[in-house]
Amino acid sequence: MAPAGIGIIRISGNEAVHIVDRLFTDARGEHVLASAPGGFFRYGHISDPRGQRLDEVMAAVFRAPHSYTGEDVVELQCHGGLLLLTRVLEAVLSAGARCAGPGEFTKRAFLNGRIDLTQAEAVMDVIAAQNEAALQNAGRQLGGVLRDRIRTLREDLLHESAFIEAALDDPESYEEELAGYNERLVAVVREISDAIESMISGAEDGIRLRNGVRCAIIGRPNAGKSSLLNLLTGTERSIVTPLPGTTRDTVEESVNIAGITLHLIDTAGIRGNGTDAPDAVELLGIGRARQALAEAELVLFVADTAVPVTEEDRQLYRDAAGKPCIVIANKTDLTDAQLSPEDFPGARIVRLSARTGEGLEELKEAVSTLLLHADPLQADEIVIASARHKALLQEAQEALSHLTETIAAGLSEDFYTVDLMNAYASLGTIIGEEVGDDLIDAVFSQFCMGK
Amino acid sequence: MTGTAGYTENYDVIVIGAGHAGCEAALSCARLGLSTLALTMSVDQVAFMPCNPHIGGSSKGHLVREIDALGGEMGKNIDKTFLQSRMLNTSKGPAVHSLRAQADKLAYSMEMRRVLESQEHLTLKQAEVTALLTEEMTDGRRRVTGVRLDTGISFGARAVIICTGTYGQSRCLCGEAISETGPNGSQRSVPFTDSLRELGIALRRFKTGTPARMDGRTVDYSRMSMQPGDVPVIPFSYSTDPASVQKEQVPCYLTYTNEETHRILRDNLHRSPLYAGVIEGVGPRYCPSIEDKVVKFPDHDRHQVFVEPEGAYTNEVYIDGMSSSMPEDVQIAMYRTVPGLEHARIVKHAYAIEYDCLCPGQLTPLLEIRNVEGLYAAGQFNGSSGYEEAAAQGLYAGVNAAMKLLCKPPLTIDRSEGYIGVLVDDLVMRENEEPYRMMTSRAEYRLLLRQDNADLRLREKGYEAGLISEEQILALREKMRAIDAEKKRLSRVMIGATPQVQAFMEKQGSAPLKTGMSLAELLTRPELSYEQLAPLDPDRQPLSDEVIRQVEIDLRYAGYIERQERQVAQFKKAEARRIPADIDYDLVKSLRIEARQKLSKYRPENIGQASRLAGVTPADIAVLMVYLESGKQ
Repeated sequence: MAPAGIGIIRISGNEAVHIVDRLFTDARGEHVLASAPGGFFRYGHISDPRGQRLDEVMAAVFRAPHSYTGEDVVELQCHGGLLLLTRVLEAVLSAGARCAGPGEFTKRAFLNGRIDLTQAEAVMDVIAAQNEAALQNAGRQLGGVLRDRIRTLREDLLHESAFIEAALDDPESYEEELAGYNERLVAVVREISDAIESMISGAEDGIRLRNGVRCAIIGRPNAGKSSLLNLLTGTERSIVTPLPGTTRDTVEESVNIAGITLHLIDTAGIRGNGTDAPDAVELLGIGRARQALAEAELVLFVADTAVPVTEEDRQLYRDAAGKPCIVIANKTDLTDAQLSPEDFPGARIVRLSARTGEGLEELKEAVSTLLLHADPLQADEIVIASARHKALLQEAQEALSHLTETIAAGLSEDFYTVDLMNAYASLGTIIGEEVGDDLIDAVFSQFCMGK
Repeated sequence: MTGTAGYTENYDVIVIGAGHAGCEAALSCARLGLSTLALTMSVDQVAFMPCNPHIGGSSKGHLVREIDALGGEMGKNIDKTFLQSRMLNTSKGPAVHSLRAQADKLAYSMEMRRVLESQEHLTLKQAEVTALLTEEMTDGRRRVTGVRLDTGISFGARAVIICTGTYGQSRCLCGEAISETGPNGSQRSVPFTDSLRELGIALRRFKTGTPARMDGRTVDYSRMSMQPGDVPVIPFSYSTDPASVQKEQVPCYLTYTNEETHRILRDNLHRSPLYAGVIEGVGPRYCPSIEDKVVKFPDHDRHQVFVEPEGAYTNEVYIDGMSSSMPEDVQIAMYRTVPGLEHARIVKHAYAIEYDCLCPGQLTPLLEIRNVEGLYAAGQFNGSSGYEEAAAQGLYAGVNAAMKLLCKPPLTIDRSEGYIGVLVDDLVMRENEEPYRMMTSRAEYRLLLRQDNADLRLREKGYEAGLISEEQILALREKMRAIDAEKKRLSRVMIGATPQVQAFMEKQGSAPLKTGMSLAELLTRPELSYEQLAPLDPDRQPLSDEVIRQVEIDLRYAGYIERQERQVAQFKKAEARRIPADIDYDLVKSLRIEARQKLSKYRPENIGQASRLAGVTPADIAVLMVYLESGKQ
């Protein structure tokens, strides 16, 4: 994906409308897609399955057979940022969709008789090329270390499956070895599952490293937010005056901090109804600031150490609750006063002078620690940087958690291989290896079969 | 009809060979009303068991049940002639329960011969077929017209089914001693497979082996552990009265090899024809010789050895787990290291056998040889191994040869419907570098393909083909109705969380109810059985054990069964997309060369089969689908 003005996510299939209906609400906040007729085109919001709002979108519904694929299709036109698109894509995937294979929409369109040969031939070359490229890409993207790691996990999964199959096929030979096998398998599965979990973290890091992180700079008016932005960008991007309320709209800028791209959003200071009531323009800015806060993945909370912490500060901090947040004790060049950690429970506090730059290194270190599971400079921990890979890792993880449930429910070994092989297949897709005869081959090569 | 002149007699169908495949093939055709001739080199060896003395076992037991559901004979025959029976894997899920019975080999053979000889429309004759007779058709392909015998006479047929097993140009190896015979010293056939080669049918060499038979009087059973049969015995056949199979059983015995056995084998490896390079055939990995096991698994300090009776008529016993192609002096030394076999005398030494069988890619999914109209093949000749695999193919090929002659739609079983479907699809569509044996891990939908529901899955197909009677099918439909009605009733009956119910749950070792639950939901708890729930279910009507079993399985494993059914729905979609028989893959320009070659060789009938071919990628399938779609317009 490359940045573009508008990004479109297309979902096709019997369940398409229902899946998106769970995520999309119209301007009145209602779920309207399920009953939408073909040709429906409406403004609204897309949220993740937990209800967290992600983006403003236009949703279009096409009913079978009047769509590109000939199936029910929903298209979401989103803002074009890679990060945003990735998040919307992830939301759609977690609501029950799966990623299309290369050329799959076109393939479905053929199968449903929607496009003819001329159109078909034109796209087929591309499909084939994409497929090839996708495989090679999968190979390239994975550093040798990670590919080896996935291979090792797959070998472990296959070994367990093969053992179970050998035991089922030749029960008299394996009766003794099967005693206590459940406990051994649970331990093995836990290890594999932990390894996958750390790869998912790595994938999240990778997605963050590639796409960057939305970072809102918030704080009371005149706490020094714009000075911080200027410090980070090294420019006079925001106009800085000693007057509270100078920044009236959000200002966006991207900077690289400790290897991560931060999409910084300098917001209008948020203040309640005090003596200096904000004017209409500033009010609009405050609304946007709250929106920016809601969408942020990282919050830099700027507090003015030169003045006492107020209830307003504490309220604003509570608004940011649940987001990774760094509290910046600003203006250390003016005062030695300290912020009290009790006012900002759970936050990392960094002392900084936005004016002199003192404390910047500590801030960078704090950002990196907070956002990444691993040190980006340790190359072998990095990283599967695509939502597709992350989805496949999660698929494997789900199969393993299903397996754990199956074991806990007291079902017998023959049920285990189904989940083991599902996890095996999902991991294989990441590195472009399929299942084929692997299981049968493993049974024979690893276990002595036959009387 | 051309080609009938000069034939001594004319039949609808000729089956070459009367082993396990040949018997089922011949019986199916005759039972469907076709005049059928079964030819065998020895009528005294009908349904002969040249290797292990049992029928069934993991996944093979499933095949026997399926053969029976379709109206075949194997299950009925073993029910009449078994010495011992066990259900394997009973501590596992119902999908892998598998029935296995020790056979009285002679009784099995004699009983099957009696069935063949009593079958209307079926003639059994002893003869060696030396040539297949064919004629050229207008499209340049050939059509089978009959067979020529060693005595020089010929018989005409509209269809011929090859069930020649391991007899084609076979040779048996025991160390340096090589005999040009079929199994067990019987006569082999040389000219027949040459006549197939002349027709352009490609053949290859496979290898298998069998262990020694010992004189039971010289075996010390006190040094082995006894393996008794199950009580009660569960019959294989749906038609067998369970009361008729409750009888005194003969035990098997278990012992082990040891380091001394392995040392003798290692010291003599250079005398093994396999390791000396004398054997050219490819052997099966699942049934390795004892020398193979020792070489490939050097860390195993012992291997299991089962001592099994060959029959009630003899004291010969089969030494299961120790097949070998070592010279007999090495065999004697190694067998005598095994506890209980110290003084054992060999009646028949172990040997390996090499034989001609069909190269892959020449069979249609109905087991017809593609280039010769009316010529079918089944059993070990097709590259499989095992009595049950052979019988299943015999039935499948027999019924389908008959369906074609009767102008009726074929009997088809796909991978989601039966192990027979998996077996046939694998034989038709895969390279199989070794004799193919059935395994439960080959069945992707095995939770649905259980030995307990073979009748529910396949009996209707047997009925449509004409092998299942009106009475049998009505009984099956009534059983299905009863299962369905009981499942519905159980989901309607609600059990409240009353103090009495909670007390009952506690007594059964089950968690108390949080809210009211249906009986169906309660049955998903592994610790509760249908029978245990009787006190909560006063309205229950008496039902057969068979019905109750299905109800329990369906409810208990509902989640898993539904998951597999969803996968099956996907599978069926691809199977339903047909590829025209006359497609020229060279015209599909964007296909990769390897895919083009594989598709041209195996000629899959639908997209599902094509996608399972090794060397055909998902991208190739996309290209193919585009091409097919364009052809419609």
